[in-house]
Amino acid sequence: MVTLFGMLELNRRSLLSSQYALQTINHNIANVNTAGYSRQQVNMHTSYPIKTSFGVLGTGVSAVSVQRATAEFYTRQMRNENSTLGGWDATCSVLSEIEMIVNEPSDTGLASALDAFFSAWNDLASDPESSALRVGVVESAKTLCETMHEMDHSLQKTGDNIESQIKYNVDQFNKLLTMISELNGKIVATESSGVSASDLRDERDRLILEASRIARIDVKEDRYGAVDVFLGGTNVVHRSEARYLDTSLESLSGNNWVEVVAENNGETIRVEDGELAGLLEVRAENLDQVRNSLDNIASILIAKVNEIHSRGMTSQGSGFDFFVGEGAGDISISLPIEQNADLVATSYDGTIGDNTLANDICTLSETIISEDEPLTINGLYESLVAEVGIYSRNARNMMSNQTLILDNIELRKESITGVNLDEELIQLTKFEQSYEAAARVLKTVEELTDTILDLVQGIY
Amino acid sequence: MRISFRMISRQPLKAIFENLERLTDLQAKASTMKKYSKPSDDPQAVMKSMGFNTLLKQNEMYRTNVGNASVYLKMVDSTLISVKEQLDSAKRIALEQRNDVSSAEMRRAASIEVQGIISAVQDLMNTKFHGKYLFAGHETQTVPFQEMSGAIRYMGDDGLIQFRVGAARLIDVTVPGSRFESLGGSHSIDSFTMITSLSSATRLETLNEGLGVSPGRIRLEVDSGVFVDIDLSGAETIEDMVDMINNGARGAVPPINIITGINPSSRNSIVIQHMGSGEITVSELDGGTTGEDLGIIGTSVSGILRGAPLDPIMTLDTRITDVQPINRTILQQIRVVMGEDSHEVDFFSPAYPVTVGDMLSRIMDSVPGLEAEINASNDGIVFTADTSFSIEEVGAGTTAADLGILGASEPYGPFSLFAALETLEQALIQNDGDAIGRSLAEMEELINLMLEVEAEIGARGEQVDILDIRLQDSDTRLQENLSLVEDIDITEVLTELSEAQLAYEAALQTASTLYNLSLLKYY
Repeated sequence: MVTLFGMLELNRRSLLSSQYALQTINHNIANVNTAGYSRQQVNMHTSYPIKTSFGVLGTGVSAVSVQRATAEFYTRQMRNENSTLGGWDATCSVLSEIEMIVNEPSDTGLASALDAFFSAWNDLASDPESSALRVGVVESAKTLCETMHEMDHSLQKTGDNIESQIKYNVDQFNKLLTMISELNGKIVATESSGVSASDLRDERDRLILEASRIARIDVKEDRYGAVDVFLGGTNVVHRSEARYLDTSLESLSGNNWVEVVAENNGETIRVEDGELAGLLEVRAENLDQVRNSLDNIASILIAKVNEIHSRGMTSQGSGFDFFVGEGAGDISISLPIEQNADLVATSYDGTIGDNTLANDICTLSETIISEDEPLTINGLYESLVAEVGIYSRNARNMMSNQTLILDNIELRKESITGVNLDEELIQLTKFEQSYEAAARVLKTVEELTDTILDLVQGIY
Repeated sequence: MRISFRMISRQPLKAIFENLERLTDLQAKASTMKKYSKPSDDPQAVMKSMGFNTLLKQNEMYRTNVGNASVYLKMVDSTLISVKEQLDSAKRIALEQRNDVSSAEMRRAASIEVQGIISAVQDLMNTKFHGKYLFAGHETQTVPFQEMSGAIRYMGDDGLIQFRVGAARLIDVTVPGSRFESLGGSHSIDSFTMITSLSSATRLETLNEGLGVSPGRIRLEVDSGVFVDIDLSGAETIEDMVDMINNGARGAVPPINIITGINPSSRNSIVIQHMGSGEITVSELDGGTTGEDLGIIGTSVSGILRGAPLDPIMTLDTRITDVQPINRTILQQIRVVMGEDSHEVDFFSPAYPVTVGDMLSRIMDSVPGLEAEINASNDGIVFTADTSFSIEEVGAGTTAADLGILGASEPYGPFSLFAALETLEQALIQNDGDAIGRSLAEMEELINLMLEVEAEIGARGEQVDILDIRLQDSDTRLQENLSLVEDIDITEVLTELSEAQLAYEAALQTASTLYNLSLLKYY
């Protein structure tokens, strides 16, 4: 049954739909720069028609829901690639720190210090009677020791930094888990009434993406709209509950290192990819390796020089080791020699003009360390530097590749979910006009009503 | 593809960042002139450049050492040359004072000269260079040759001072004084003093105690006023010389009738006889000494010009028939007994020797370990061996007795540089001709030793020079390699830099244009 009031009702919905649309356009424009925001759209369809004797009569429009544009496929891909990127990013930053510590090629690095040490011995060999040149040997050895200490100390500090970064990441991850679980609750509550919680979902997606940078996570959505988050097989978010991570000091490959464990039972959690895994790996593999190599170089130097020097003899005593210590961290000149440079021996029999021992020490710089290690001491260090360089270069390349991949996916996602102002402006115009038209219809209905009312006035 | 507002803003920003990064990178390269600043920029190149740098530093060390070695070797060389000159003087004194003509006074005077030589040699052997005594072995701070209870003793050791001039390559830069200690230590038998006579085959360089004859021209003149200039510079033997003089005289206009030959009685001088009993005058031409060297300068008395003695020395080429007393005997057989071994020398088998060299070779070939040589003063032969030995006759032969070599060997040495000089001094003071003769042999040996050591030093000096050149070459090569590995091609980088600049500007421009485009402008 068509009535004028029925038309007013139709008109009301028409105006309202346009308003909804305009509101949503407004919302889109306002969020044009919001990270993770997916553009929204008002879903409209014709309202339920009326059956009349002469046919089915339309009853106008009704706005059913506000829906956000989704690109679930790309969102998932982004999470995965973000984890990989996070891993390489962490690796890359640690490796470039190691590179800075290694400080090669330069005139102040370990290679130069080694060269200077052997050069001082060579000078002494050409003038074994000289006290001044002995002081020169001791001074160059001091510089060499200090360079090694400095490197070892810096590497140690890098290790400490990695640990605090791991702790920070775990805290951050826990916070994200809390927020995700809270959002789960809100989304389920909102959507139980049948409406889509678009903005909350956007926010949750953003948090999950952030968490995936810290560690690779698997996300599964249940039918109520809540997500389950899994980390290395452990379910860390279930509905509105979160299971937190913790760190604990574990003894690993001879070092006391921070590891990632589950908070409730202290079990070590297997972390794959992401910044956490990157940090754990670069610490266990590269940092540890560099420190060991440096220790190895120091211990070889100590052993080789001492093996020769302890057989030496000077007018002031014989049988002194030149170096003491075991590695890069504690290598130093033996105390008697440091206090009295005249104990630096150049000869095996103590004869003043004999330079045999000094020559033998010089020769160390160009003889291979052993059959198993066919490298010179310098060569060993060179290969260490090259190794650091190769790892660092590789990490940097992987990172830039990964950034490209992620950018590409993000672009595709953005293409679907992003806001285009021109589009919104056109939509704005469109709905503005439809609003105006609806208002015009309202006016007409009003006139019609007036006409009818005038007729009624005429009767009475 | 649908483009969102954020895409419009992000894409140009990314491009701008990328271009800016490339620009900064190139700027860093251009300002440091290096291809890389950290290992990850090019790990292989960094490793190579570190390797090259280490090699360069090693090279620099070697070059310093080579330079030092060269200076030391030159110093040692020049010192030893001076020592050798002193020893030459000592040898000359021994030669002069050995014969019986010298009086006690002359020998005493000579001893003072030897004393001077001793202190000169001592000074030389105590040369200090760069704060080190060069001939003290490793005891570089101890005066190596010091006088102790009247004798000069060596206070150093036998250590070698070595400089590193290459990977595992050491070079000795000094000679320890011990090298001039404990010399000799052999056993020897001397023959009788032997006199070498002139023969047609005698070589001119053996004349005048081995000083030889300076080649040149002489003028032969007879009292009739006829003269001829004869060029003797091509003559090698007495025979050549005699023929040249005779032919020359015959070639004069009118021909001069002379006969030139060896004085048959002394067999030690030349005689020129004019067949017409005319007066013969031989004079020098061109300011030479040829005539004097041949002993024939001057004017004859009654047609016969008797030359002065020519005193040829014995050499390996000297014919045994020219040597007394070998010429008076027939060499048969001798037996040399060395410890358990006994060897016979048969001079007839395979062939009788012609020259002194043949004779000595026959002896050395027959007796292993025995050295048979002409002695230091070229007037006898000497047999030496490391162990004691004796020479016996075979059967009823008298060969050994005829040559004066019958009997047991006498030990010789050991002696040292200063002991030898001191012995010579004592021998001169004590007017002992035989002892002076023995000293002569020691001087001879010392001089040979000096020559040997100098040759070694010279060879080392050459090695060092070659090494220096080689190190210089490898230095250049390393520098080149290093430059290839680490230096940028500035043109290339600057070109790339301007390209990058252009790209950066383009990105900025595109971005600003893009940002300005919006439907909003038309509302």
